[in-house]
Amino acid sequence: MTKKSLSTIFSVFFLATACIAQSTNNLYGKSVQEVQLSISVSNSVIVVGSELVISAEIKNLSTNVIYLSESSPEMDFNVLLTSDSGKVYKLTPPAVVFTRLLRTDLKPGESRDWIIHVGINKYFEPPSLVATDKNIEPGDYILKATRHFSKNNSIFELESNLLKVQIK
Amino acid sequence: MLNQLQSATVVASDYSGVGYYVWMTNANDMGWSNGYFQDETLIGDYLSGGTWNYSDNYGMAGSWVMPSVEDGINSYGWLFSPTFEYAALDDANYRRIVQTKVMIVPQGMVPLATTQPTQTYLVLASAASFSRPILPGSREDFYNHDYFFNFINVGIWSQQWYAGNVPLPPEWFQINGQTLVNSGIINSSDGSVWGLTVVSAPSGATVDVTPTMTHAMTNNDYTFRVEVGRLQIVDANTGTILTTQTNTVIVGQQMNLKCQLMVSNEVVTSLPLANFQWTVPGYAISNYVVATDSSSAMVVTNFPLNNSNVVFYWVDGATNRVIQCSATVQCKTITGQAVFNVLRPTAKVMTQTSSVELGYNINRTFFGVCFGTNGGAPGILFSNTVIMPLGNYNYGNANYILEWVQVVTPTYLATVKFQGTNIITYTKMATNVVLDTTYPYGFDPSFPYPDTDDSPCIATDLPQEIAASVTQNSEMWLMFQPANGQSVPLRTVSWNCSGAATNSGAGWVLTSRSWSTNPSDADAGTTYPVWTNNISTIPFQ
Repeated sequence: MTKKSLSTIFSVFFLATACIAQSTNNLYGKSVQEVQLSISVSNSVIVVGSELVISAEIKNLSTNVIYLSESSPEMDFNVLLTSDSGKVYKLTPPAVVFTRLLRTDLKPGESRDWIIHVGINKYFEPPSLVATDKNIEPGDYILKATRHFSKNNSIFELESNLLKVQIK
Repeated sequence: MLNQLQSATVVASDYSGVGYYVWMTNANDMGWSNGYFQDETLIGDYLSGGTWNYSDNYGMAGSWVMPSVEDGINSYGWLFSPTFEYAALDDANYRRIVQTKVMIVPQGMVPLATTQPTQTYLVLASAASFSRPILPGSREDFYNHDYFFNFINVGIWSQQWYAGNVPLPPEWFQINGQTLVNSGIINSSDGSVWGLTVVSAPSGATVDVTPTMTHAMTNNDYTFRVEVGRLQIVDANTGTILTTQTNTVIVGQQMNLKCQLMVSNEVVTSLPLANFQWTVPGYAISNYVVATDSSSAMVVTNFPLNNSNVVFYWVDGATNRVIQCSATVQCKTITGQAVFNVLRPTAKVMTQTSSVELGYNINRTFFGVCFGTNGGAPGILFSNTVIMPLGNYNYGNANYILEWVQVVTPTYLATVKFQGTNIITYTKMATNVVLDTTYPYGFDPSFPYPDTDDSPCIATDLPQEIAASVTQNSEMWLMFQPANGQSVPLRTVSWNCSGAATNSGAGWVLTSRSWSTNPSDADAGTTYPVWTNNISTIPFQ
């Protein structure tokens, strides 16, 4: 393999990586019951101990109404960071108790947006309900969000697209 | 109209005039013959009018009526605010005596008189004498003398009032026994300087403000003008004078008021006002501040009351609410006021509750002890009706928004137990009033606007979980915000729910539950929802 070929391969790899980590991408996660979840971040490079602001969108492309429990974005979404080594950091608190819980729906063809604020200065390690007050170490991570919805009395879990982020 | 307030006006309260001469010295004057004899007398007062007698070769007589005291407009529709005259010239061959008294006709309508027993007026007066005697018997004098008389009698001439040509210092005059203070403002009609003083009188009563001369004059004849200056409360957004009318506003509407000195609806800027002091009755706020992260909310009730402007928002409704503004001018304190009817929407919040059960939550996304379960009716559903009051308020903009705000009141307690090697207990507790998660609470799009709902829940489907319980007391507030205004509370509903369940290995069992059944609402009055924390940021311990 020539140097040029290697360079081309690496270029393609970096381009692909850049596309994944692109803050403005509008990629969606896997369609579940014709419902999709998308997340994006304004800045894929995060300072240690700072806040990560995630834009999330769910669109219902099905012909049925889906139901979403709505408390707060931080409670309703499950935000996870996975390190290169495979360690998973849960950034959102465990969904155990809800004082505010609305019976909101998303009608066929509708989509809705949320902003999720999570700190990377703490994380949760289930089954503990108490946060571990430690900074997530610098490095490269994959960011993912999940959320449950119900449709025709069945529960489904949505997974978002994956974003590559870097903690510095 | 009972509540219609009138601007204070200066009118002639009493007038008498005599023009008399024996011999005509100029045989060709007015084309009349030598030896012509003129004798005219006018006597009157503002209530009953007066009589006019005139004698010459032909002989005339008549009567006249002073202008209406209510608006200073005479029967011909002309503003009756002429240059008045005082003259006391007497000789063997002529007599020329003119005596005019002027008074303030106040804005003394009944509601105002009862709220403020004394009214204070800033009175401005200027005067000018004549460089030569104005005698009866000359053509000029004849016309001059008759101007006033003819105006009030038949009104066939325009207001071409004559005035003296020698400005007199304001310090030479007194009104109500007080020497006038030199204002430095020039009266453009005769070059004299306006003097001012402050006169107080019972509300609704007229008060004599005729300037009296304290110095000797060469020709003993002068003309004078008197104006009443008042502190007017003005809408700073539109410039509308609010003092002369009963004003209609709505709660939450921005009140941006200005206090300014005005004479005959003209703003006087040359007289600096100082020491402003506003009196704002009712419950007024300057802001309802919710922190950007919703972690706290507070009502700001203090706002500057010592500036020429005041900005605030009324929270409670009222009729005939009187705002006052006082200020000092030339070391004298004067007061202006305006009357407001503050309207408030009529609102009602209705609730519909279900029950606390062990089951799937309202959207069937997890299992737990929930107020409202299994995709059925929510734990508590809030709906409302809001009827806007009739009337022209908020500059004719009847648009408004409604918001729900919910707080969790003490004591909130959630407990979860896990069976591991040992039993681990986690608790989440709030001992102060805290916001329930989001501000505002929001509407539920799955119900008709502006409904919202709540279905509190504690999960019982966590691994190794053996017990869960929650006690929640809440207050839901319906907030109203007129266009460009501030949010004010209308109604509130206090409600609660609790439940507990255990799992001893044979499955989950509901051990206790309670909830408010269709709780009724109450008038929020002037109480706002305030908090010092957000329930969502209180961690488990």
